[in-house]
Amino acid sequence: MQRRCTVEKDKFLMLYNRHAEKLFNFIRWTTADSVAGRDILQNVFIRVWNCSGAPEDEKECSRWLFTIAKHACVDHFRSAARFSRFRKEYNLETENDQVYPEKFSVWKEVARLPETERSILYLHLKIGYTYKEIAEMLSLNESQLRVKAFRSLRKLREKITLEEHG
Amino acid sequence: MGEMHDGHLTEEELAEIAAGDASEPQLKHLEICRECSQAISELQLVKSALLSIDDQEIPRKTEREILLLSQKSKWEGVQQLLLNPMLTAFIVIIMLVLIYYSVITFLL
Repeated sequence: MQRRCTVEKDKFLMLYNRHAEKLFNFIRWTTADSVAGRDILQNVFIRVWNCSGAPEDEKECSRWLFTIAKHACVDHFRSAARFSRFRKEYNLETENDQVYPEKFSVWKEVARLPETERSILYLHLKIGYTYKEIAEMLSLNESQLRVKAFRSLRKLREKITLEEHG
Repeated sequence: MGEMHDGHLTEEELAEIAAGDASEPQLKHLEICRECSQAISELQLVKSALLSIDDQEIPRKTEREILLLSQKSKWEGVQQLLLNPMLTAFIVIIMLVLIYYSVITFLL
């Protein structure tokens, strides 16, 4: 089968340099799994390389990439559904305490939130997207998304000791 | 400001304020209501705690594999074309026809 490829090598490298790290961390937050995050990131860039063209506008392009990453995460959850529980436990016990020893308690609680809530929090707090933009990207209702984010913050509030971060 | 719940802001209103979309009446309420303003400031602390989680770098191996992708895929495309049985058969037939006509032309 012939492959359509209009994302040229230079554009591909530029997209990688500008967005890969943010995408990787978005995937890591969404899946709460760095190991799976590496594979998913590769899948994202395979999709980018095979796509029929990336948006020219920088902001539009960024949104497009996060949407691809979100779909790649959804595919990952579907294909790995039976291993998800094991992975989650493996993650909490082995990986993150080594990566974030001092922030483990925060990350541990974040990892316990549903994946959509983790995605929302990362896109809003770390990337700086508005709830309206996130609602468009994740195909969700804006006001529901806003309440979802608020509830997840409140859930975290109940679990995290705030003194050390205040 | 919308309906109050027990004299306090509703969940939707607190969500709006937490998102940075507070209206004037909501801000006025926060000034006089210690419980609601405390709820909001605690959420701000949670946000700070989340922001303190550092981003992780992409492992070198993953980076190499992705960057190689842009070169590998082009060859994969050529390989895919060559591995296509119909196309290979077509190329072989064309080559046989060309060889046949070359031999005929040479003999005549």
